[in-house]
Amino acid sequence: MRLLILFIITMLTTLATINAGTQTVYRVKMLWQPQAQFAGYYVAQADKLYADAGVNVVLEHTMPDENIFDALYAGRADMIVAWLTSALMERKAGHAVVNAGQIAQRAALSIVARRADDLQKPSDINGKRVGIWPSESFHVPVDALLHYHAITNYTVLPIFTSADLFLYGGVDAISSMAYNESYCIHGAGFDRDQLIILTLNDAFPHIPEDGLYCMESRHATDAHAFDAIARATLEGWRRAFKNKPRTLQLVKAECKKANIPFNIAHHRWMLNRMEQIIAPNGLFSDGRLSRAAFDEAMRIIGDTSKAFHYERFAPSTKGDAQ
Amino acid sequence: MKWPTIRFHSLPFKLSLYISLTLLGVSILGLSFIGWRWFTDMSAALNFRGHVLAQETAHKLDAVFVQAQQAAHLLANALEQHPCSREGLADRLKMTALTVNAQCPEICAVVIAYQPYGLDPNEKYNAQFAHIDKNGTYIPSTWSDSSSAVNYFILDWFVIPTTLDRPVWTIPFWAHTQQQTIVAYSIPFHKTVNGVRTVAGVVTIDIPIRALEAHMPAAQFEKDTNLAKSGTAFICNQFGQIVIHDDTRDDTNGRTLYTLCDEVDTPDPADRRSAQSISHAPYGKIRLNNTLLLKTTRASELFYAHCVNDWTVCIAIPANWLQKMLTPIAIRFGAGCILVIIFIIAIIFTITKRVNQPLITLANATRNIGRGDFTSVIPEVTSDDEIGNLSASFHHMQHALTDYITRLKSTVAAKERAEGELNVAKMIQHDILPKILPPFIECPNVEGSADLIAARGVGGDMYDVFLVNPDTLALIIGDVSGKGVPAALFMAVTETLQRSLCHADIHVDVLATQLNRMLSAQNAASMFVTYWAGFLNIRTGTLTYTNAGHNPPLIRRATGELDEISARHGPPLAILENHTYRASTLTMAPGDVLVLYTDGVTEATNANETLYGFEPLKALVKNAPDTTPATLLRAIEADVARFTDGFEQSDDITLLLLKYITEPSRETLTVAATDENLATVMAFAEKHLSTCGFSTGILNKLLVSVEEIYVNIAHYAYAPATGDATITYWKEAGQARLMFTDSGVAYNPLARTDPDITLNVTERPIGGLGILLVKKSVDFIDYRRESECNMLTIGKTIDF
Repeated sequence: MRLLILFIITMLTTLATINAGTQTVYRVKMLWQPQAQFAGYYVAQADKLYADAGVNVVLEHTMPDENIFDALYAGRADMIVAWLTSALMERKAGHAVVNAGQIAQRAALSIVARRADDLQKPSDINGKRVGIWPSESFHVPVDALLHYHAITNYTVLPIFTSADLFLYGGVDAISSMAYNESYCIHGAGFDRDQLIILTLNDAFPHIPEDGLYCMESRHATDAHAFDAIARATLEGWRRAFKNKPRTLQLVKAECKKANIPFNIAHHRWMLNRMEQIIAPNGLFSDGRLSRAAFDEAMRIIGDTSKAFHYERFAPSTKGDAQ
Repeated sequence: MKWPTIRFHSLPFKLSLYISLTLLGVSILGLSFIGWRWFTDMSAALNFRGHVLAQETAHKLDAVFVQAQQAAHLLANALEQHPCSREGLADRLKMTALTVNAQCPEICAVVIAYQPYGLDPNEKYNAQFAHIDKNGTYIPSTWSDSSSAVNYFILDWFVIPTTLDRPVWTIPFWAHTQQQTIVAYSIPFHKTVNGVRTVAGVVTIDIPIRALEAHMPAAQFEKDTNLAKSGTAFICNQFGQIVIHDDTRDDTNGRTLYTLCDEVDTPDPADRRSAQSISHAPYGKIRLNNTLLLKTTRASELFYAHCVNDWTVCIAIPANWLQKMLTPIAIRFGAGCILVIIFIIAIIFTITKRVNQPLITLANATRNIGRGDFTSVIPEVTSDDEIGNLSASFHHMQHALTDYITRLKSTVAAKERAEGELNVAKMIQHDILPKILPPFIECPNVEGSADLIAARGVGGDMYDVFLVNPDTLALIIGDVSGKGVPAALFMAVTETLQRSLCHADIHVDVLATQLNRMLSAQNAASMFVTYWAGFLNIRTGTLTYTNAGHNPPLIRRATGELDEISARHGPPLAILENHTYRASTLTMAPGDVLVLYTDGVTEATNANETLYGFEPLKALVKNAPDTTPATLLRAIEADVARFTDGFEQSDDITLLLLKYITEPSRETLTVAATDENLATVMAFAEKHLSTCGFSTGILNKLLVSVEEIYVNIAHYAYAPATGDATITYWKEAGQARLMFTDSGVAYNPLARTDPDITLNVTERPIGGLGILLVKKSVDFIDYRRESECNMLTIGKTIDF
């Protein structure tokens, strides 16, 4: 009898192990190297929110010279963190990318210009050198922002990893994220009164940035898993903002893992900025891209083909178009 | 161990306290000054040390940076002047790398990187990389399309100099090829194609950050353990980014001089401004109030010096480092001073107490002597100093005091004896003077009052009032020269001789003349007496008087006028033996008051040495509302007392006042002689008797007598019928008198024999006790039967 019970237990354990081993692993790729921009994912992973939601998630990061969409198309990632405008540009280019969950509700993108004798107002950027990330997808919102301020005549210089070119005076203005480049500029001793800052949020208040994207075909089969990842991530962000010191420790651990220098002041700054774009006024997204955001982004993209129907781009897991 | 009792008022304590306070004050001032100088000097030295350390470090780094810049410039220049093939490039690179590494071992790599297709039109990536490892081994490598190329076109060390077209010091970065953090000096070199000069590529000299760390001032810090423990050193690049830091905490990577100010919860805006000011001077010092730069404190002082490449060497020490270092030393020094002061105080206290001990013993002995114990032992102090002298003086004082007290005791005893005798003499003198004025029933139309207030003991004033004959009343007042016993004796002699000389027929001038002669004959002491004598005919009011040098009496007339009796008839008695005194005469009308006085009244003195004077007396007498002698006398005495206000009396004060009046006024009450009218009678009697100044006991006895007499009349005079009873009150011969008149049956109560009160009540016959009681209560009683009426009169002498 005893032998029989032992046998049953052994069999059940073996079956469970086999089941776990065969569970689908979802590689979720961050938009950049480890930093507080992705703190919600780290918290969700650390608190086993993905596992609790029944999905096996592996978080990966992107090197500076790597195109994150290429990783998605090549199958090196199942889900990526990307900007709405970038994703729409990819779709416009013919890639069947869909939004599988919207995390941010605002944008952190801005154009920062150094005040000079001949640069005192936004329109003075005309004729100047503007440093912009080389990726084409980043150009779209930056160009839209510049055009919004009637800046149409400027020389684009690529900036790659930092705001260094701006600091050296290589460019007069620079595309900047509120949580990265802006902090570098601030950390180099520049005060706000020495700068002109144009934010995307002021020009296009509905366009959000970081969202979760996957291939349309994959979404058709794994919609619930992606939805679970999105919801677990949002919960991760909730917890991240609730206990910031602990969150920063998790970010630090990720940086250490990737051999990336960690500066607590910078990441605290970044975490606070992320809170402003993810939970403005303390309110989180419901996980789905809003139509207003979609429509406003589409005005920038300028394509009204069928591929850009809201319901197709941001399909509901329940199939009920909003 | 028994601790000594400290008395806070003792000399040792006070001396110790004053000296210790002085020492303490001097110590505080001295230490403050020394401490201030010390602190100032140390502060200057620390500043100097901070500046020197920062600049030394900057100079050491500059040596490396200049070498790198020169090497890069040479190579770039060579590439521009003499473009070469890929093979030639390798040789040039090798030569440059080995040379520069030999000159400056910190330089570990040299890179020549071309723009895309810059060297070989078929190759995008054209870069040569030369690395010299720690052992000096030359390791070349090539980045080309065929090899695993590094996409250097996006890296700062390539992008920035080519974009800016000028050399730059890069921000330190992690070099994957070398697996270390390096800083690079990148300089563009150019090529000219068809007259157009463009950037062909960059030459980069790499310096590992680790190699620069050897020049950090931390090593210098080690010489000063305290500074190394509490301070820190770091190097910022041209953007304030901290590139080398001895703080090994792993969460401060990428911090800048400016973000230091943001790491705390409540940044101080002044800190950021201070950090921004660093670029304004080649070297200096700033203060940061609230950063996490140091582990022990938030406030720090930052010494800085710039390098040739705009890097900045910073040395931070706690802002309070000097205070922190000096405080324990100051505390130890202060504690040492306090210990020394305590030691000095203890020594002073002990010495002072030892010196003071004989003084305490002397003080105790003196206190005992003060309490009367003249046998108290005064300690012998043999020392030849001030305390020894003091002890000798105390011994002398003790002996002198003992002798003095012995003499004083005998003197006091003698004085007390003399005072006792003097008191007896005073009583005798007072007995000589008349106490009741006037003393004669025969003088109903005269009222008088007199008083003598002696200055001290016995005095020399006198007065007398007596009947020379039934019609003549003698009034005498005098003042003997001098005071005390001699004057009293002379006064007694005068009084005695005067009485002996008086007889019924003598005249006042004769009296004065004879008295003068007798006094002069026996006046060995050459004394004299001012004397005024007046004989008043009480029937006619004629006053004959002689004034022998006495103050002029006053007469207050019934009309309100005042006369001064200024006539003088010779010198005072006992001066001119054979002088014959004359007399003057005046007439006193009814109501006139004669005021006799001695110079003690007019010469009464107050504290301001001012005399009372004659005029105030005259004014008082003239304006007195009540001229009753007793009342006027009290008014004069009160006014004199008010004037002197308690100042010691220097002379006897004597007053004799006499009022000449007509027949005394009478008050009459007639009632039906019944018991019902008893209350009316009693009220009438009490009303008048109470004005005579009787004591309560005498008054009650008199009222009982009145009741007894009236009740007898009511019950027996008209029985069984009724009739009237008349009660009459008047004053006569110095007495208050009441006469009871009825027209009933003749009855003389005085004719009845007084009952024998020694007999038993049962043996004694009834009646007679009432009239006996009346007799005992009054000074005068008389019965007459006139006009068919019973007239019973009782009288009681009025005391003045």
